[in-house]
Amino acid sequence: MREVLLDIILWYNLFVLLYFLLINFSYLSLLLLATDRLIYFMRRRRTRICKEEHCRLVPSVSLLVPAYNEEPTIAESVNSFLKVDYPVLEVIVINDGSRDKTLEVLKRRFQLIQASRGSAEKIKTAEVRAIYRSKLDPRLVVVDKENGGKADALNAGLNYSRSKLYAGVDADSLLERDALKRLIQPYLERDAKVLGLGGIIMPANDSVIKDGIVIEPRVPRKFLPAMQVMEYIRAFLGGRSGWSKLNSLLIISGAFGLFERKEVLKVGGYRTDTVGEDMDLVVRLHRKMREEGKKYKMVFVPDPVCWTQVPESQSVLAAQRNRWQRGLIETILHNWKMMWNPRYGMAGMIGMPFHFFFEMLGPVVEFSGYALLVVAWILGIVNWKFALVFFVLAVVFGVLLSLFSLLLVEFTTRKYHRSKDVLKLVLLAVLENFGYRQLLSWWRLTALFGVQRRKKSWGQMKRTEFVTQEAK
Amino acid sequence: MGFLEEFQNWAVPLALVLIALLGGILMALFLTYVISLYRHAREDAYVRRNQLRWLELVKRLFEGTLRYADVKLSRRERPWIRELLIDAFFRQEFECSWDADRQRDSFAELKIQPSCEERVRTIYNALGFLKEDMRGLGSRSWWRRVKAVERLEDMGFVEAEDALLRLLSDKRPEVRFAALKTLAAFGSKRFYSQVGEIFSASSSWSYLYLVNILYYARLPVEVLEPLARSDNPYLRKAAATLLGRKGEAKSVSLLAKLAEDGVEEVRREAIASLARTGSAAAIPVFWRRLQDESPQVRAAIAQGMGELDQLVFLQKLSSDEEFDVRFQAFAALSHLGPLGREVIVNYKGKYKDLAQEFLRLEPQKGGSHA
Repeated sequence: MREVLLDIILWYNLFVLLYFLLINFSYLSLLLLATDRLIYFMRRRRTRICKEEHCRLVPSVSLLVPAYNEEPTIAESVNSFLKVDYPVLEVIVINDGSRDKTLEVLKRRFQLIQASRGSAEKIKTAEVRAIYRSKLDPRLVVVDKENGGKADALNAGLNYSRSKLYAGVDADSLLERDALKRLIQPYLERDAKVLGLGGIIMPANDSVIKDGIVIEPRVPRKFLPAMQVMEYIRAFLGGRSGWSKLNSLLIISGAFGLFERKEVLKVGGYRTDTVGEDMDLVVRLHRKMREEGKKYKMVFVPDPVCWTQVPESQSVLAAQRNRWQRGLIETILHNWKMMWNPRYGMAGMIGMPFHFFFEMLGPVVEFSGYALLVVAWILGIVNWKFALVFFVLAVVFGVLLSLFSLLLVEFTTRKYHRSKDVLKLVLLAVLENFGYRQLLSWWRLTALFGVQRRKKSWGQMKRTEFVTQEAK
Repeated sequence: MGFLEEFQNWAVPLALVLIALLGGILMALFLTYVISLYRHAREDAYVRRNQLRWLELVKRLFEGTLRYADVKLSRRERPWIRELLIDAFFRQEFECSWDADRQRDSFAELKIQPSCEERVRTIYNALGFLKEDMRGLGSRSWWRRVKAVERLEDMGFVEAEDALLRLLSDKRPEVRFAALKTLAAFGSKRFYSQVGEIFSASSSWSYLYLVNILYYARLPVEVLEPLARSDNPYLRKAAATLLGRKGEAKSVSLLAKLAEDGVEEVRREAIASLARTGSAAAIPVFWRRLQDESPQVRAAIAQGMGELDQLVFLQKLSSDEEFDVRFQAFAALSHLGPLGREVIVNYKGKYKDLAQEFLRLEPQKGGSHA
């Protein structure tokens, strides 16, 4: 019996080692691809192609802002969205049956009046109670509807939008003033049909905000939000830039992504039976275009920034990560047909398998490894030398990936200027390997068991007002 | 099983080798990061330390109290002074002075200079920056070529026209686009003959970008005519957009033809452009297309009618079967002042919500409700 167990443990060790090497080298390759992409974009940005006077005849854009219990931040966010510098813009806030005073705040702050707006009802949604428009700024439309979830709210927004393009943005976010102009650039200069564009999301907690604009980004003081800065940098600048280069970008964040409305309507809008509606939409768009044999691009633009509030408490962060992971799993399973199917190009041959093996199964492999270590320890067969070396290797890889991402930030966007923040980021790049990453993996692992039973609803995050403060 | 027994024996050295390798890379990355941070900080400090000196230097050159020959610039400070001059050049478009908010008071007396534009350009040239930019046009790096083109545009060096025309056939689209943008900004006419070729050589997807650039070049109707008559709907659509400029009566006949195009987007663009021309000759065209099968074209007519103050047409479109068309017609009516609002009042029975919405809204100056 002991012999068999020993064999199992050894075989599994070998498997984990290979898996570990494969996953880390894949991330490293993505980072290298991202470097190339980022350098191109930064050179492009320096050349200021889209200057004011050459950016007038641009496609119209609707900002769709689904809102559920956003009373503390909604006024500031909408204010920030209306200040976005873009010639043909409308802002559609969809109040998804909020139980707090989200609608009242909007009515008061923007002097809403009841409006009529024909909806083609292209997508079925929960009942729309009323449509409002702002007397102060007619570009602001508010759709008040029964609660149906984020995806349902976005679908309602799509029904009422009149623009060629739309961008889904979270109601607790702030957009940089020229974010849309920078995001639309690849759409204007495209050499193939661009279906979707994604920008960077960065945590706004503790940053200096004035008049709805982040004037001095800062790394949050609290540990959890600070860790998320590092994580967002790695995910956006490292991961998504790399995927964009491979034209296998499967995730464009729901917090800031631009799409062609017509194409999204063609695939039936957002699926309401998943919590990962943003990833699911992108994957279905890939699928549709590939099935129709059309050339297209999904582009990540590593420059326009959307600032958002990230969870500060462990329970909220756990719930958020659990939701993200469930979304990933549901999307992969729903679009399983694409897996290793050459018909779906790089998205099917590389993107989907990567997300399945590394993003979805990663936590399973990691925790089964820990479990086996405990079993081996009980049996007294742990090779401590091997375990230690393996742990050091994991940390070195982790720090390497994070530091590489930080370096990309330094050479490209340079968002954080205070030396205190830079030092903090370097420290976080090391510290996140001791506990934080394992915690994230655990939350992701628990999601695997909750895919079927969890309700598809809004994530509950305790909203706090954006703090407007003066720079010190 | 021998393999398994041996596994941990070779796995440890393998992991150690990897650690050493990755550790090396990590150290290199860390060093690069630190060096980069240091260089950025040093550069920032350098600029802060020297900014006033550079301002003083430019000011003296500007006043003529310092001879160009006496100015010796280091490699490091040249880009900063160049940026300073470009900045100065831009500012003088308004009042030929430095913005007091930027606390460059020492430079405030520039206000009294009669021709800042020419002086700044002369200094730029005398310090060798123009020569550098011209050299930059032939750089092997595409972004350096683009950057040089943009600086020439910033400084308005129209003498670079020949070199820019050559760049229209550059292998990088970024360079071609930048050159075209600059030529358009210079008001050059020599690229007109290449417009068709520029559109054909670019992807059909980037036509919107080209249209954005060329719209401000105010291309003559004769140049756009071949595009308008092209078999390619993208080119016809581009022509329809580019023809729509205020006071261009000559373009109306061509736009009238495009308004009958078989492609909906071309018709819609032509209608919008006809409205932009502000010509009364557009009205019969609108009348003909009033029953267009596409609601988007009819909505464009409603918008256009608003711009041409055509109340009767708008009354007709206000009861269109499509909401979008009615919406646009009501929006246009609300811009027409009391008369338009009177028409809206008449629809309070038929389209109560829509009418009330526009009656409640304040008329927007210059903006659209839609």
